[in-house]
Amino acid sequence: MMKDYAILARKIRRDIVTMLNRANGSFGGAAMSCADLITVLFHGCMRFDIENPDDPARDMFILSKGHASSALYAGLASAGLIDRGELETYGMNDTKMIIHPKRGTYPCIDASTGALGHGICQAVGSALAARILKCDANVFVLMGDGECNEGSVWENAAFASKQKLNNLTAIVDRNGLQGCGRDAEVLNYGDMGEKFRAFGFNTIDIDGHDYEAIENALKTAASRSTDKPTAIIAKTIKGRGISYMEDKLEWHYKSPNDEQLKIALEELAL
Amino acid sequence: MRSIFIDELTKIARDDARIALLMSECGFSVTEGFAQEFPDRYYNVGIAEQSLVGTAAGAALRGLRPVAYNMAMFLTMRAFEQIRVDVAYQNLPVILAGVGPGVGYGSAGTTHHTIEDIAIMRALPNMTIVFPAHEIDARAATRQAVELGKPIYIGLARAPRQFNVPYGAESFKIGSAIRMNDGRDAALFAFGSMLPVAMEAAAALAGDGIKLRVYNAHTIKPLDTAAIDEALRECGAIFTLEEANIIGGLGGAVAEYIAELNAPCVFKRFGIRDRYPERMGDYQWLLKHFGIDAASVAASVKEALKA
Repeated sequence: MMKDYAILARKIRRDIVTMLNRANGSFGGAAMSCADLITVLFHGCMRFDIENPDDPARDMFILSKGHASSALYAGLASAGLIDRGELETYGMNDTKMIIHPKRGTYPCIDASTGALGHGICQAVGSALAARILKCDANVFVLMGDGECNEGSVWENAAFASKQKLNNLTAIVDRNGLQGCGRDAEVLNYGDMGEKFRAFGFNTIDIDGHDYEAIENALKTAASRSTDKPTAIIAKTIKGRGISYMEDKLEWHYKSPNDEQLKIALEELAL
Repeated sequence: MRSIFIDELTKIARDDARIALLMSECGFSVTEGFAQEFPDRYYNVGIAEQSLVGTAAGAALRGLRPVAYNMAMFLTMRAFEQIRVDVAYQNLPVILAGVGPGVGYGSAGTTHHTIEDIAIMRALPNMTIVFPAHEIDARAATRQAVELGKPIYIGLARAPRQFNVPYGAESFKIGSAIRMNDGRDAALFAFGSMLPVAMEAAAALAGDGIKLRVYNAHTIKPLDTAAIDEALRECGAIFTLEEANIIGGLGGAVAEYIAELNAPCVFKRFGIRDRYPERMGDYQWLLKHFGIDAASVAASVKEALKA
């Protein structure tokens, strides 16, 4: 039976907007667009033991779009991997809850990210090492679609498929809106799945806010039914869940003030 | 030096299942032995340095001790952000093996020279930098790099000159410069391919009655400040020699240390004086062109001591 992802995701979004308001933080749009993906990953797909999160055999997750870390921290708290009270330290002085996350600060922060185009390479290296070490772990990496402008993504995608790394799942948060404009206006990647297929990946196109579709896609990828790595192209809306943020470029940068926080929490009422 | 490095790595890999060799289209006629013996631990990522270093870092995240092997200029400069973020920031045990640093690729030209690596790699917290000069150094450095368990950049001279060293394998320790002789008129710190040049310069100066002490400063970072202290105490004058830009190199590191001692001494950096060559030639031509061949170094030392 499917968990009540909608409620879990709503709580995560409430935490995100609260964290951003407190820290005067940016990237709310990017966090909201992947909040549903992170909800399903940590509540329905990733294999980890909450009592033993350092188990080297657990699944790995790399948030390559590190700027969306508020969603990750809130997701980890939701899954019980971080004490929820810690979220109050996000982006504050003397914190280890850094806006661009640092490996090892909390369970399941498996790489330090924030420089785009780095996550997939490390995920691929980890997937390769898991195979060499005969470890059953799956490796998940969540990337932004703007991030796919980086050449390193494609250098490495070719290597991943050549090595038949079917323990690797790359999820692309396809919100179509990057730092200075729409993808269509900047480089116009168009059909992202087609690009990954050309590089030898299985691809699954989904609505990145449809919990059942996300769960099915992640489970299909994790089942390793073929010898290819999988790319899940998740069509999303930047700022999803908060009316004034949805599909608005400025919410890559802006921080919700107290009034905006109030509106958001009303819209996300439980 | 690269063949010795790979040979030693292959030996280590027989007992250490964590060793993996990743390269980006580099190693023809050098890495085949490793590849044949360990096909599941040898990967060519293609002509893709960012992918090379990022993938190596990812493998280290899961407990491997990967080597990222490529020509020095492409490894350190094309993939610098991956080196910074994925390797140095995360403090991962990745061995960055750069082939042909300095002007080792000679007449191939400036695109294939690496005169900036010391400066940029020195600027990275957590990074160790080692340039072996001799087979003894290369074998010991390879083993110690694996044991180090932290980021390390190893510069492997392309065609190192054969020369004798007055020490055995037990004397080579990452972080400790090795005194090559007992000269007391001045001390010259050199590393990698410049060590035999320094020794030749010392021999030439001996004919003029100048007893130049040479140090094998194989570890550029962390700097062996005890060796500098010793040289200051016993020789008074200090010189550095490198096949790299003098800005930010070993000479820069030594200068920074000496300057903060507030103890005036004769000091000069020998190296490439912040320029790319207008015309090109082979390795020996380039050393002469930059004034870092043995005869030029000997003349420069004499000049500096006269002043």
